[in-house]
Amino acid sequence: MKRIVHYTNQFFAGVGGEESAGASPGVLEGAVGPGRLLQSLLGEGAGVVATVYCGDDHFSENEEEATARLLELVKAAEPDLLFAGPAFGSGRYGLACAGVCRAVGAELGIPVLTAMSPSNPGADAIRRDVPVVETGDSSGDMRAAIEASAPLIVKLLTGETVAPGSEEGLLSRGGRWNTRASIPAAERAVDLLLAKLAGGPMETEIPLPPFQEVAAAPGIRDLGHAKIALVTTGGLVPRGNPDGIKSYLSTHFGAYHLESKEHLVADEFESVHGGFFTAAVNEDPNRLIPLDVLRDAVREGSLGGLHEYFYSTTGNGTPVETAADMARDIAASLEEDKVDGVILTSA
Amino acid sequence: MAKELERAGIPTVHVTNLVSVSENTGAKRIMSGRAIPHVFGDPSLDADQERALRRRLVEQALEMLKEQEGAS
Repeated sequence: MKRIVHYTNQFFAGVGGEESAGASPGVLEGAVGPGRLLQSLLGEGAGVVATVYCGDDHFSENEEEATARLLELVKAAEPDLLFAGPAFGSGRYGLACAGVCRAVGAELGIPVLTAMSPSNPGADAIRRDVPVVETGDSSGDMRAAIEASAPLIVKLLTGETVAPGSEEGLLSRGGRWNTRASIPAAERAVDLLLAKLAGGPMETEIPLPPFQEVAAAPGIRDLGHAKIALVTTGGLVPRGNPDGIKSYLSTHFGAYHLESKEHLVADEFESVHGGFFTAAVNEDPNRLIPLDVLRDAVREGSLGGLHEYFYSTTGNGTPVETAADMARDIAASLEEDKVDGVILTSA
Repeated sequence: MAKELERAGIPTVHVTNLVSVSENTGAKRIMSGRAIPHVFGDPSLDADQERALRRRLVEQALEMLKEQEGAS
């Protein structure tokens, strides 16, 4: 019999409700609560041998310590697979499931599975690394969630291939899969085109990532007192590329001090971007980071000042999520330095 | 990146010549530069003309940072 450990919060483990959300990690023998329903669907080949739990508040307030303790408890039960949740729309519970799955997957090297609503913050935290069964927002969806999880648990335990997310009821993992298609690409492309021309239903084979809507920040009221920062995805770096900024699929950015420079000179800077013809920028870096005329504007008083660093990466094949991570880091240092606005240049 | 900076409360003008890419991601203030390989310049102009052009483009970018609701 394959051994499954089930992770739940204090509520589903039967320890207590919100008043017990501070409960420390613990373990119960066998299946409890939703684990019993799971057990009934799994049959003889697999069993829930232990239920490991932690209070939602306890986990979020002591994440590192709680994760380490939970890892010990899971390990002691010698599982072949860990199932966490379902967490539905509960953010603290979802983040705990994500944290436990990540730690158990990495440390024990066994398959892990969790279940939650796509709107749960835990889902975005983990869905690229761990299969997440899509559920509704409330525990009223329990039966459907467990029924959707059971066959995936069986697949993971038997080493069967798990198909792309949507075909298995999983949240998108953001990956691409190689499969053998029965119809050649040229025919599929023409079929798609004809369907599009006919205005009929068509399904793209490469859906674009959905973009979240962001509201514009309030505009600058008085440029004469505003501090502006320069950011570029055009890959401008000091010659020799001291931070090793990659020419494509960049994962990090550099922050370069402008010192008292009046303009950027070609001897000191170069673009390492691998996706555009960099000669014009290398000849005059102000064509990408317009320092010379911004200094003029500051001197004349039409602009308050310039942030002392410029930030640079290459926006060449960089996944949106990676770019967003870099921008969040840049934003944090700009906020600290009370920067009022950014000119972001891209080639 | 422009969106994350705006989300952090910092108005950001994205100067690019791949405007449709920027629009598709949902950037709020997008300005078309001079050309893809030199958004803030033009090597075909002489130095003074080019600097004047760059100044005009930068003024245009700064103006977009003043707009309360973003441009698009």
